[in-house]
Amino acid sequence: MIKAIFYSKFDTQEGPKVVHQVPDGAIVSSATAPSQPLFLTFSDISFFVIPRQELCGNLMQVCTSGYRILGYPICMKSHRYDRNEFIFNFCIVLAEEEDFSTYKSVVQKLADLMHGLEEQGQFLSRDHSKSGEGKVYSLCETLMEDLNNYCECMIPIDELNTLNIKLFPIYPSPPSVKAWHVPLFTVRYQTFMDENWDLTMQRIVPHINGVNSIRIISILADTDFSLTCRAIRHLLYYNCLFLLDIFSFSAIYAPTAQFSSTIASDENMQRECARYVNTLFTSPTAASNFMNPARSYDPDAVWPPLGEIATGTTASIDIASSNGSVSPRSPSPAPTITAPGSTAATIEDQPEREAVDGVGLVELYASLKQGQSVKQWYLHHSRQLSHIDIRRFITFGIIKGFLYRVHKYAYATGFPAPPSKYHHHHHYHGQVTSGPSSRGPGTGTNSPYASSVGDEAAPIAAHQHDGPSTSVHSGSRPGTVIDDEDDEDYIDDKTLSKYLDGMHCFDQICTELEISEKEFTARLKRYPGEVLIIHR
Amino acid sequence: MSSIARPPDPCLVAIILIVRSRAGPRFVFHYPPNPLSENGLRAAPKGRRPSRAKSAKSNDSSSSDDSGSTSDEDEEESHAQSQNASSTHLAGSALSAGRRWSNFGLDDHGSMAASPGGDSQRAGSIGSGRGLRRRGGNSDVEDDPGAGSDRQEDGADRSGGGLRPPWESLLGLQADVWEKLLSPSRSWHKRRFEVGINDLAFVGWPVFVREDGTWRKQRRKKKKTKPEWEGGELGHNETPEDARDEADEAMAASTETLSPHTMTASDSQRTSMGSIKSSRTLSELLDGDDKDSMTMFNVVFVLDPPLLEYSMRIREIYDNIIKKFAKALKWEQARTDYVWREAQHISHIKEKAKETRTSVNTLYSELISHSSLARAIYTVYSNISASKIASVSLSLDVSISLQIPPLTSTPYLPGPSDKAYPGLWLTTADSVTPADDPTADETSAPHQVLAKHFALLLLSDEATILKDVEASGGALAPALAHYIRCSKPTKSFAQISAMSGIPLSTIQMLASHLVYWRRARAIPPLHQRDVYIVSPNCDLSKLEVATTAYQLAFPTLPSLPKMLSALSGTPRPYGSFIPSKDHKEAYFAILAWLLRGGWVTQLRTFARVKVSPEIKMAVERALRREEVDKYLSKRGSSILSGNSKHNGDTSDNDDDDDDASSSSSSSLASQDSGEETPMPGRYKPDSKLHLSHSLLDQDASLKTASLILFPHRAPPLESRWLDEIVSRFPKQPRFSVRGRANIDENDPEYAGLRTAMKDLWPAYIKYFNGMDALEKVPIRENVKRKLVWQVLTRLGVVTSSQPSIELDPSEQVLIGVRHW
Repeated sequence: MIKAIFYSKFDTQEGPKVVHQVPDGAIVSSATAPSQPLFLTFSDISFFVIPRQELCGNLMQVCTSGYRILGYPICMKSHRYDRNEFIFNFCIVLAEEEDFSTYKSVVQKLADLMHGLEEQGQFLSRDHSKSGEGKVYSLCETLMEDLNNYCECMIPIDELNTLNIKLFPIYPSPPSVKAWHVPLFTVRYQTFMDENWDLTMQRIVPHINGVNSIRIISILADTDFSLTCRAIRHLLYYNCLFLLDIFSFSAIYAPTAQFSSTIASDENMQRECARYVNTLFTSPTAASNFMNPARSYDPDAVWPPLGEIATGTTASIDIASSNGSVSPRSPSPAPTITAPGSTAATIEDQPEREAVDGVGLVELYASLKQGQSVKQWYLHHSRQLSHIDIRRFITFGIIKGFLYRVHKYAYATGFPAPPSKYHHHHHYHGQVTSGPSSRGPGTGTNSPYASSVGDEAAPIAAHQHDGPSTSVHSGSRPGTVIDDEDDEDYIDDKTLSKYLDGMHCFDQICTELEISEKEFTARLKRYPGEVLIIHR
Repeated sequence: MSSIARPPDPCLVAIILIVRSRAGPRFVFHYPPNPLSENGLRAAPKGRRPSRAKSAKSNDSSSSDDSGSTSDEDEEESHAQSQNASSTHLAGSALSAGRRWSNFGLDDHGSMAASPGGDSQRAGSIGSGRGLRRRGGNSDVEDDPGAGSDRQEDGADRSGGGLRPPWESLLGLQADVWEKLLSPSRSWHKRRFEVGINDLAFVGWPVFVREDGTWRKQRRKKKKTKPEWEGGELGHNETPEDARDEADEAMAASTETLSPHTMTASDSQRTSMGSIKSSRTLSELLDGDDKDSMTMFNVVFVLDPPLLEYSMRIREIYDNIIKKFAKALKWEQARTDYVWREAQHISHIKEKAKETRTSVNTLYSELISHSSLARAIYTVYSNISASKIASVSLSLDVSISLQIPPLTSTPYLPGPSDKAYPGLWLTTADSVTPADDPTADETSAPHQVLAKHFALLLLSDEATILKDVEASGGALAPALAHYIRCSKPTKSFAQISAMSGIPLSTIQMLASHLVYWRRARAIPPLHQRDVYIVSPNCDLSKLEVATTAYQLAFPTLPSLPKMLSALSGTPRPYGSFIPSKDHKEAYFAILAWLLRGGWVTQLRTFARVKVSPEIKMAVERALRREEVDKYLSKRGSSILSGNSKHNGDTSDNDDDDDDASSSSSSSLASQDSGEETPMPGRYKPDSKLHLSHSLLDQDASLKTASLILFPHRAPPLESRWLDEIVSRFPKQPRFSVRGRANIDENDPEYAGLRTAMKDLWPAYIKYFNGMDALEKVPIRENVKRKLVWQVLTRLGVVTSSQPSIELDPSEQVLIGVRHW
């Protein structure tokens, strides 16, 4: 909010002087508005409003009495002025604590415009109207009102000049994006995209679905990779995207410190999650049933059921919704009790629909942990997960910030590879006597290779589909089978060694070398030297 | 190790000292001599520069910034940038692009800058680098005074000619411009003075002479004959007296601005009241009366904060550095006329240098060696801009240590689109509950006492710290040295206190001193049963360097990558990595080393109580039965006419209920009054109830499980649920250990298995809020860890491997989650 705007100039007789002020009496006391308390003492800031010539032409600001004054003093030299120079400044007064970044451009633009107007026809120096009157005053007044009320203005000044200003929020510059990042829309791009959009943007947008990595997007859209990155950053800048990681069943996810304050305490988030991950809702009929607002439904119908449901899923949903004749807002459970033998009785005969409720989802999330791949986790919980889209389940946690991806890094120690990996670990193991699992460092699931050999598809190979809203199983299950190709050694050790410095995560390596994680780990085994895997 | 903690970005460009005397304002000193240029006496380059340059490199689409200097520069700059966009190695342009927040996508600014005003009329002399840098390397110099003087400055070193010596201009502007701009009116007395020019901020805390000619209120009685500087020793512990003084003066200052007349009156009153003032100041003042004397001094810090962090950065440096430094100067000024003496001294040296045409570098080394104030400013600049601690001594008696307290830990793991501080300690161990929040708000509450259940982790090796402590001397040194020798990261403050005999409060004071001055960190005590993982925030780019350092520290033990690799798997207690009892100490040393560098973090367990639908249903039945009983008994005593009236009430009651339900659960008390909903005649206690929502809380679904968020202050319904859970605990725990047939009933090993859960529950329940780490329980409750984990395992907190004890499903009521 702009608190005040004032126009000040250097008067050869009076020195620095406020010519116009909005609101009246804000900066210097005014006969027309005697009751208006002064915001500040003008004499305190006159050194800054009308500064030394050398400082003119710079955006300046000063804080006093809880206000921040932004100004852009301009000094014009011409023989037509007294003392051959004309110094003026249009200042904007804001609350000191307010974010002023967006107003900097306003002040600058105003100064530039006035400079131009003065040059063209002495717009300012010929303005001898009284304070609170005239063109310059009404311009200040309109500017302040419009910017405060509409965040933009279009003020015609004469036939040639118009003051157009719009306040733009300033966002942090977007992070640099990497080939292995997976963008996911936070908005429905279809609603605001039009044919005037950048061509690269138009081509890549359909491939952004939370599954494809940026590299894959640029391949699918047949666009230049660096242009693709720029377009993605553009969308990121406006907060239209999330950046995710490449989902695969060999990936490891674990809870973050936000766990307890988000999913574990927020029942709405649990419901949101259920709606997002429940595979039943992706079948069009069920979804429309559920989404139909006219129909009263059971709020508990969102919970994805446990595995092994005998009959058609839609049927069970229907039962569930008729069961929910008591809408969530309905006053009390009394009617249900008072009418036994009617609807309630029939429902009682139905077996309880077992479902993964909110707490069940929390338990599932809580059981994700370091050192355990999604695949291993799935095997433990397959019954609960039978109607849950695994990819969406993980993605939801990443988006909400209560899950993080545990990335794997390879580090070549520079020592020769131990004669046999197994032997080496065994040797190490010798030192370990305590510990429940009697596993020394670097063995078992910690071993570089054990955890990553799986039947996971290359994340790259996850086949495409047309948008996150309709994605069901594609991408969430390893859909494609990768031909084992351990025969050819097309990546030489030198190329490989570049990636073994502990700074390249597996996603990056696999994306850049265009191999699957399985192939990569197989290749690592043939690397002539000790390679350690660090999970981070 | 540099990755201990990421200090805040100080954004410090230069420090300027301005004084005003009757003769007018004077630009006395500034450091560095050529700010924002890479030459000169500039201190060690900031660590952030290269990283910013790097980010700028990838920041290919960044357009110009809106706060740049002249528009044609802007255009050229962005033009040049787009030319080298893909591979810019020009430090200058890369730096400025990264430094400023670009207006990515806001092309509007570009066009705006090209508007009519953008011509040479704009001096454009000042900016945080772009303009100046360009001017340095570009022959296309504009016709403005700034550029002119700059050119002069460039040549000055060699020719020594020119009318003005090079040190009389700063950032392309002459000293007299700065004098006028940075010597504000009296209304800024002891307030934040903040002026911005383009993207540079000039922040100071000007001090004016009092109207009676002194620099300090003579309020104090003769209790203390000689006031002592107390700010130096502990630094962060401002003495209360000082604070009081501060408050008084601040109040005086505020009245002063309101009405100068009353001020003068009260002032003179005060002067007369304390008429016996330190004669020294007076006499000095009288001495100086025939000469010129100072009326104001202002130490102005020039900053270039990024636009989006502007106010945060300014506040940080203002609160921690600017104000404290100026206060120390004011103290010395009041005591010995320090600032004025030094200002005259500096001016004198400068005059001489001007005559002898000394080069800037020579002059500055002379100033720094001869003037303690110049040296102080130099020290502050070079240390603060490098995010270090600046230890400044103004005189033999007065010294002060200044720092912007660094961020020591964070619970947030940065995502791909967040600003990351790799290497920062990732933990909730000090921010979740205020009770163990030893370091989080150092700035706001420096007096905060460290939680007694924390331990001290020294951030460099003991010998180094001891040496420094002894070298610094000071009253605290012997106590500190003694404490440091006793301290162990495996023992909490309370334990150390018990072992060494040092009182706990002393330990806490000494420890917080060490923590504040970046020598140590407060951590939960290390324990072999605790679980540590590779920190997701560790800085793997330092792995190679760290491996070498680690190798020196632990030559015979597994290497750093090997340790990290080992800690990468399924989390398990640290003890399982320790090969034998003899290795214990060494492995704890490794753990401390890893923790110090942010390589690992503790994985802590958090839990909440799960209430299953069965429990809810049971409570619901009980509740309804109670209502019925109550109703019946009431009905029995006073015979009511019939159900018709009753029904009418019911509907009313429903409405009430609906309202009440929104504001938490309607309490039991409110249900007592008036008629009740359930119909006695139709109520069949034996028939299977089919309820969906609770009587007490309409929002609580009975068909789904829920979690108790705040077990220690659960609302009525949840309390009932908890009671029901407790009542279902078996009276005698089954107590059998897999693989062991006969166990002595009294074996203390299995105390946690034998005791009835009902008895244990009250002590544990308060920790089951999802926010308190269960690792705290043994330390807080002073119970053996093993016992606690036996109890927690019984309650269903899943621990690493398969449980060796048989679990009772009715006791499995917790949902546990592990994170840092």
